[in-house]
Amino acid sequence: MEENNINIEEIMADIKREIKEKGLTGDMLSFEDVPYKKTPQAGGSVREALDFLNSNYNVQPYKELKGNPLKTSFKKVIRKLMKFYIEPTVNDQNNVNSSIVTVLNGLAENSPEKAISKAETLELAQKELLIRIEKLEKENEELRKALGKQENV
Amino acid sequence: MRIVQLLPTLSFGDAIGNDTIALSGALKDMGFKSEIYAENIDKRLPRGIASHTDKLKGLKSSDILIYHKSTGTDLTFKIEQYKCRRIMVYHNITPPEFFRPYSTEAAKLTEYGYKGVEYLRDKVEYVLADSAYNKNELLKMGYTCPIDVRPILIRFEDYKQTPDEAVMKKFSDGRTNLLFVGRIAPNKKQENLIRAFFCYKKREPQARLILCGSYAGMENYYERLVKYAAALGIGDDVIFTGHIRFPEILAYYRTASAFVCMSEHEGFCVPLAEAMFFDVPIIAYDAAAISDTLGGCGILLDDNSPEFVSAVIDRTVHDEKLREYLIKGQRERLADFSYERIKDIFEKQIRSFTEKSK
Repeated sequence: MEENNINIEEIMADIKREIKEKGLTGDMLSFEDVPYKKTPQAGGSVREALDFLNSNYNVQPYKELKGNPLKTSFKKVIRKLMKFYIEPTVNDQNNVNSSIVTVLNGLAENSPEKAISKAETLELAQKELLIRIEKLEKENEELRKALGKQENV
Repeated sequence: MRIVQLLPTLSFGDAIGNDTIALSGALKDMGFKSEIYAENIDKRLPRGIASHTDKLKGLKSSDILIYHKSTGTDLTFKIEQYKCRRIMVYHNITPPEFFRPYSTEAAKLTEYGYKGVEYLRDKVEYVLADSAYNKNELLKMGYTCPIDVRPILIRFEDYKQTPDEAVMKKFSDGRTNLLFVGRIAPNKKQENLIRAFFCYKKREPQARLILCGSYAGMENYYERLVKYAAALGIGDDVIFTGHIRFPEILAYYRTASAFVCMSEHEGFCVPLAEAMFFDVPIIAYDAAAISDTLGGCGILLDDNSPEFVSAVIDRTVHDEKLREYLIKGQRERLADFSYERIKDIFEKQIRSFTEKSK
């Protein structure tokens, strides 16, 4: 694939050469080390349902009117007539929805499952930091050796 | 002549649903009596666009039934009751091995799906596969009937809608946005994206990884990914959108710096064509049907090691000439997926099939 001096194969080969020369290894915590539940979760996607509630709890009293102009004008008149009843009811409902969503978020945030999950994540993060420390110590040792050689020269 | 399309679920806005509806239109344009039948019909679809499978009666031996195969369903095993000529459109099924550690239900469903594909081997006269990869899979499974490749029909018109304003505003802040669109599923290997992103963050600390897609049914895998990103210290910059509205998806494409795909199993991968449409440079690992869909455009990786992927991302994001070259190639490839072109291919395939029966 070559066009306007761009050759993808060459670019890929250059990148691979550079990674080899610099000794970049991409050492990190393995995905296999991350624990997970092996049994199917009951109750479907609770988290996704909560996400949905968070973004949709505020209900709009009216939908956009489209289509036949005659029908639209008729609907507008009905809306005006019903406004005194619809709007306060929807506002009350939105206040209730908002409180429910706040409570549900609080419960989800403080659930025992979440606490266990947080502890597991911290353990994994510690593991990952140990990998990084080991890598840095190796680099440090190599740099010290190189510095020592220079001083001897 | 009646040409009937049959599928378990006709969904609103999904790739197979759109393909089925577009094919029905193409069949009508060709002068055939075209109908769609499904067991479940999405209520958001226009009324009368499809009928329930119970109503599918009176097919003659000269009529044609086009069956869309993409999942495990009892409907597959009822196909013999329709005494007419049968074509299968093969969209592929994810191998159950990917799901086994996370969801027994998903693993069973896909296993059942493969049993269905095996069952259909001598029940269909002709197959239209979404990609050459899908065709090869069927050949390996012992299919001997003629199989042709016909890419899926994508409604690019829909992508011209206004993108979500809030997402546009939030993600147009000058930071690098790496995007992948697709369900959170083990075959899509989102963990390899996180690994590559971890390395990329050392090069570009302000970058984000946006994983756009629903995790319904794959909560175990999703939670494992979230934990992994957090343990690597990049949890705040790996964004899982969950199921989102269509205008939000459009906004993520419009604000993306690169589309990165590490998926190890795809029968076609519609998001690749979407990234082409939005001029987002594509970097994808060479697995399953990915190379078929890219057709030479984008960057196809032969190695998914995180350091290598991150270096390729870095080059793609910052090298203007390379970006221009990639986008130009992707635009050319996109033309192959235009409605007119795919309709033309389909028309020739159907005409050839119907003529053979005369």
